[in-house]
Amino acid sequence: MTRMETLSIQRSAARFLRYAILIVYAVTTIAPFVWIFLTSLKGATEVYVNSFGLPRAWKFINFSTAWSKARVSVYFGNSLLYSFGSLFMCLLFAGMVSYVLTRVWRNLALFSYFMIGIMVPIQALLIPTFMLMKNIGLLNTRIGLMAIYVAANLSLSIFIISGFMRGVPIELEDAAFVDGCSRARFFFTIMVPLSKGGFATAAVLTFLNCWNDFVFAYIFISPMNLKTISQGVMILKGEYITDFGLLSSGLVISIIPVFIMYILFQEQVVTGLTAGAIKG
Amino acid sequence: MKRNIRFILIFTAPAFVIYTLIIIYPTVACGYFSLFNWDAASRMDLVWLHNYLSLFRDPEYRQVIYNTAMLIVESLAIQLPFSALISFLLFRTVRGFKLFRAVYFIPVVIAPIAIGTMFVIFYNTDGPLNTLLKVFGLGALQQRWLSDPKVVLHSVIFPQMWQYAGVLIMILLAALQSVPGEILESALIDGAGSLAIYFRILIPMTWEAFSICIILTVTGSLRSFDHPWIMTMGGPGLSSAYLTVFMARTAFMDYRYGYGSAIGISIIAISLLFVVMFRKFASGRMQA
Repeated sequence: MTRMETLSIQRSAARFLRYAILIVYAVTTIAPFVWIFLTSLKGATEVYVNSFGLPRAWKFINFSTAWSKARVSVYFGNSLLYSFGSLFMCLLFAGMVSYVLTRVWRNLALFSYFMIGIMVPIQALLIPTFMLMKNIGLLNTRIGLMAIYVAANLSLSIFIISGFMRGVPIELEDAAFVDGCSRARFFFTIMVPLSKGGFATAAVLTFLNCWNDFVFAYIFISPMNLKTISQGVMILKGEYITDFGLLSSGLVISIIPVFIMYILFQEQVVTGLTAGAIKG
Repeated sequence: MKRNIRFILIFTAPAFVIYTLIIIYPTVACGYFSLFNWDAASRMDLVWLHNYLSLFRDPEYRQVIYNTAMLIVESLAIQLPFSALISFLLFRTVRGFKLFRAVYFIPVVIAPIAIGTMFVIFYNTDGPLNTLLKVFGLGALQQRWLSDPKVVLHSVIFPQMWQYAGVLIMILLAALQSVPGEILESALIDGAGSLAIYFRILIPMTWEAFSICIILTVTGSLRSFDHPWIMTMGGPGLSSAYLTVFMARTAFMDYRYGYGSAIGISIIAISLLFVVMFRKFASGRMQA
């Protein structure tokens, strides 16, 4: 064989190996989710006898049982409320502060003050926030949990949104003022639309953090009708551990919104999560 | 000017109030509580730094430090190199690039609770993992994955590594893509092989991304709570408990809020200490 032929065989082998590894890893990434979806359609203990095959009978009823009898609908609704409510408030407050910090009063000390939150691991504050909420009387309330979610996401949202706002040309603002526009109106009608990207990224991240949260909901919410979907998953695991089909269907229900959000907003998710990572 | 001040106050107040109340004040309060022996029902006994001295001598604390350290070590020794490998392979791949990238990131967005529960089913003693081992003739390797104290820690560590590899891959991939093309081209022209290119050129040039990954891994591990809690609640005993789990159990199950707060402060301190020291180390390295 000529040297050229050996080289090209080597290159093909390397390429084959490269794709093999990437594909195998991709499969191991998706497989668990496919498996959980299949398990959710199986009978209670079918996963023991038929772990990896297709369900014998496609028990879609698992989903409706989880939804109503296991009260997943309640938890799901609560999570929707908490996530969107917190997200709205967080974006509003973060946007307002970001505008001040980037255009009105560029105070580095204040900005750094808000960035402390990114460095502090919020789980470590579990105990004092619990005490605080208890003393204020906001323990086991929707508002209390949402306040925590807002606070927890403020630092990162401010970081992201102010980044985008800095890119908005200052001349726009000057022009608006010359025309007699008030600062507040400028903010709502011009600044926000122009920094849409920042708001979108912060929105997606905040939603993810709220929807996926477990520890705060677990510690701060005890009444059954106020619990989140994460707590719901844990409850399902406790009550229905013998019925893996039902448990899995609850899991699938809890995952679907995040999955949809990922498909629709993949760009923002990746940008946001890596930006947050890089800062923290 | 006056109207400006009013505007600033109105627009800053909501965020400032909520943030100070729920983030800053509790951080200070945590330090305050850690100076007491307190069960939240009766009296608070001021014990100054006694809680911290107890922590040093506490074998349970040492165990959870060990567990958390294991999480960090395994992540750095297994998850990071593996993610580097995948990101490098992906970097050189054109067909399917976007699809692979999208897929690898999926586990990252899923709730840790969901991932943990999936693995609970998977790890079941009569369940899929053990069955799979039997099928491949590796029946001898079967374990009681979540109840055997000898393996439970690793059983809990693995899902976390699996879930968040996608973040590291993204970061490293972005760094690789920002290396100027000319450098790679001239290296190829000079006849450098892939491995040489990777180790002598790409890794040094993406060192900053690697340090970000390391910081992320360490700080993320110090925060980890959901995975062990849903899978084992830190058990059996404390064999799969991280610092945060130990803190939560001490405060909310043993009603020792003062001691728990001390653990919380130690988590914050270790986190900050690591970031500061590592940043110093990393920037010194980069200038060298």
